[in-house]
Amino acid sequence: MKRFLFKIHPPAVLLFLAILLSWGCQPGVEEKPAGPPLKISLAVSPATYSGLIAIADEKGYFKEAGLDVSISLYASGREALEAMCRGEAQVATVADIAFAAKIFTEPSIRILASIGTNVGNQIVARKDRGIQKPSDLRGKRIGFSSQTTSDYFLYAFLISEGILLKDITAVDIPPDQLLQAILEGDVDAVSAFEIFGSEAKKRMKENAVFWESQNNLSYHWLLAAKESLFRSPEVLKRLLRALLKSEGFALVNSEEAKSVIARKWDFDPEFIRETWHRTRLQVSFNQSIVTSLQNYTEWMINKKGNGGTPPDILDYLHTGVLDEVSPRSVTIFR
Amino acid sequence: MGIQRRILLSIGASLAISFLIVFFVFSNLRSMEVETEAHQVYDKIKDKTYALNLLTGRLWNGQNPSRIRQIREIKASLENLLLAMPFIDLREESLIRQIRQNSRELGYYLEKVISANLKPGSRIEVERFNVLISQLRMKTQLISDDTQQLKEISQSRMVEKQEKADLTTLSLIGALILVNGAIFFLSGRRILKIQEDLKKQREQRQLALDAAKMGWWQYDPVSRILFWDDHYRAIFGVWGYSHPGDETLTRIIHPEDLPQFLAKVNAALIPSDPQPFAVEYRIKRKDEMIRWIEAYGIASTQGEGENKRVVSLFGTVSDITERKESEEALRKSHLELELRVEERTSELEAMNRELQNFTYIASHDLQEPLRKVQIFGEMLLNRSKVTLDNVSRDYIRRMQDAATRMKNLLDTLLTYSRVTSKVEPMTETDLNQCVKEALLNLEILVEEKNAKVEINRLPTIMADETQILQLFQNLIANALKYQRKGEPPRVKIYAQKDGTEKGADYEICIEDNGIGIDEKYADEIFMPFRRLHGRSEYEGVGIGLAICSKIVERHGGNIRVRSEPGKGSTFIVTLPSGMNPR
Repeated sequence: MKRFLFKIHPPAVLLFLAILLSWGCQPGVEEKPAGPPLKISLAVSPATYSGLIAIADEKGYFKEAGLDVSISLYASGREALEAMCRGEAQVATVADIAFAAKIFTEPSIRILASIGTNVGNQIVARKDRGIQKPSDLRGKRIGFSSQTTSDYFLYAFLISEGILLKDITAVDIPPDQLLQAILEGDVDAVSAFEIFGSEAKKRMKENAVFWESQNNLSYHWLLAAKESLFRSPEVLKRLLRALLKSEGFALVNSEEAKSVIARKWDFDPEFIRETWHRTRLQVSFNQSIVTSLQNYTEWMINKKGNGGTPPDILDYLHTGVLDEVSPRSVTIFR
Repeated sequence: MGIQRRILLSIGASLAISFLIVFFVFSNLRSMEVETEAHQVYDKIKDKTYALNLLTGRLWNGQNPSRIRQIREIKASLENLLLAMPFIDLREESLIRQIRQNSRELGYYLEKVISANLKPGSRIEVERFNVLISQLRMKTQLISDDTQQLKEISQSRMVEKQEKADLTTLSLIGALILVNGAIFFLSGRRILKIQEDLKKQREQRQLALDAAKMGWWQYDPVSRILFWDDHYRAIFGVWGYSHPGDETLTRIIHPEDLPQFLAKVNAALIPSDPQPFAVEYRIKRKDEMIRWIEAYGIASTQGEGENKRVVSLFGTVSDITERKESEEALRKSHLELELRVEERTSELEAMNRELQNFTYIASHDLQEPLRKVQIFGEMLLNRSKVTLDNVSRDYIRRMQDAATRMKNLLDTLLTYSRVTSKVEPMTETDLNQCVKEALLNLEILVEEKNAKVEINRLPTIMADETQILQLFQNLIANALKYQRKGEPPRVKIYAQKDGTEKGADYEICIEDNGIGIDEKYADEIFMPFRRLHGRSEYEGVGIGLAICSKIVERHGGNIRVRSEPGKGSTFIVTLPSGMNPR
């Protein structure tokens, strides 16, 4: 037996080689791209739904993907998109509503992918202004940020409550000033993003009354870039690969993902835990992006009241990059 | 590694790899089946959401009861489908959770849309309805998107699995081909080598058989067919490639030798204890020639104990006709020779007898004229005592001495011849008694010589008593005669072997302290008329020991002497154990 074990048997060697061969044929591990890292600048609105960027940066996925990423933070997606349009960044995180609004003035912007959804917008009102129920909003000063989710969901909320915009005084306030406005009483209520709404409730304590404004209708949190950037898509592919890796990490390690996001965006961990269930971190390119953009552009035209033809949303979508990196993530009708 | 082991290894490896292939194929099929089932569910969900989207869009035109009923039915059906949705990984679980959540909210929107009371001209109602409808569509779209995503995940997993399974299966098939190819290649080489070796061995065996003029055969006890080679056929005078059965064989074998032949075959085919097959027999060839055959064989068995059986009997045959003829010729010549020897022996015996008779007659009949010579010599001497001169008287005395010597010579010659001519039957003879009588006969001599004779116990044997008495008398007399000067003779008679040991001979020793002899004369002293000393030193004619030798010879024994000059002699008489009277 000993002799058998130590003697070289050609059939045994061949069998061993065959097994090695079969293992060798299995899909391999992704290799790190060769050459120096590609630079890319991101304009990001820090939020739970920007979590994939936070994770990729913190866990080193950008570096692994061969990217040298610089991140600039903005109070809202609209501001991030505007910064990108000004050339301060190459890619911006923005809500579908803000993107739909920007199409009218900046036709060169394109959607790279959705990196999450959220249903966290709220209407926060002051009780000391006699507001106890939604109908009490009638005739009140309500702050909002135009061309953002706070704009559309204020409208949708009021309509669902039987209140027309003309029945209130809508005050357009920059997103980073909404919190201050409600706290200082400049307005009686605000239509706020999740983070500001949460902060307002915390600070107003008993004086706050609030309602979910999205009616469980989530909005997409998109990556947008100028069309010119798609001519050299390698950097965008690497960006999406890193974010897809973040998505996998967040799916399997949700607790750690929460910690990473809180640390990266300097959020209260409690806030992340509270809002986690309302946020979805997923790299995708779905038909609902088209539907929502169509809805919002039509709404904006109606809101302006001066007519016009809605833009062809399909011109603003660039599914090719994600399709190449992760075809299964693209479910848009084609 | 042996061929058998290689083939077993090949089968084992093939089975193991085949099992792995089957396992992979079946597990892949099963996995595909699960994915296909999931796909069907996803498709149904997509159909339902699409239908809901379509039907709710038409609510704008008015609340049709059948449409509302249909919407509710589809929604219920969608909820059932969502309950049955399978998931495999966390991503799917997350999507399905989202779909269920959206589905619940879809129900809320649906109820709101269904219950909306559209008043014509009411702007706010129209806007609210528009918002609801757009939100409802968004919800259905989200469900549809997530379902599509599930499909994509499932699809990509299917593709991945299929690719993996294809690769694994191909690799395993490759391994199967490689392993079997290698084993069969190596085994094939080994088989070719073995075939070459076998061919070489067959050729060498055939050469050896050719050299020995032997044929090779193999008998199958089941089919009862004998397989034989060309040599075998040549010996049996048969040509062609047919192999004979029992019937043919029994026809060829000589009827007289057939029973013996069959008995040997049957003995060689006994499963429990097959006997080596060795037989000589005659065959009658087609050309009417009778040939002698010598066959050897051995059985090949399989199994153990009760399951043991003879599978084959194989061996060699050779034509021994020439040897048999030579043996027969030799046997005949041997018989002839024996006959001639017998005849010659008879002739010699007759001649010997005649010679003995002649000796006896001569010695007996010569005594009378010799006695007359002595008597007339004496008478002449007495009568012419005065007239004869001294010289004449001396002549007469010398003549008388010569006649006396001649008489003695004739007496001993007569005695010598009587050993064979005057024989007595063998009787129970007490050697002690014989020695006593011999000593009685030599009594005067013993006294004269002042000799001492010591006799130990001797056995009783079957013998010719008279001759044995003569034997002892001669040997004792011999011992007394050749005494050392100044030293009285000492004689000791004893049995060195007395026949009590089974099958042992008798050895009777007569030991003296006489002058002894050089051992180089040990044989000569037993020849007639041989003397080692001059007549003047020791009288006698030199025939005593020859008589002893003849007596012992007649009793089937032998006599020898052990001696050294000056140290005495020991005569050893050996008589065969057959002399035992019992």
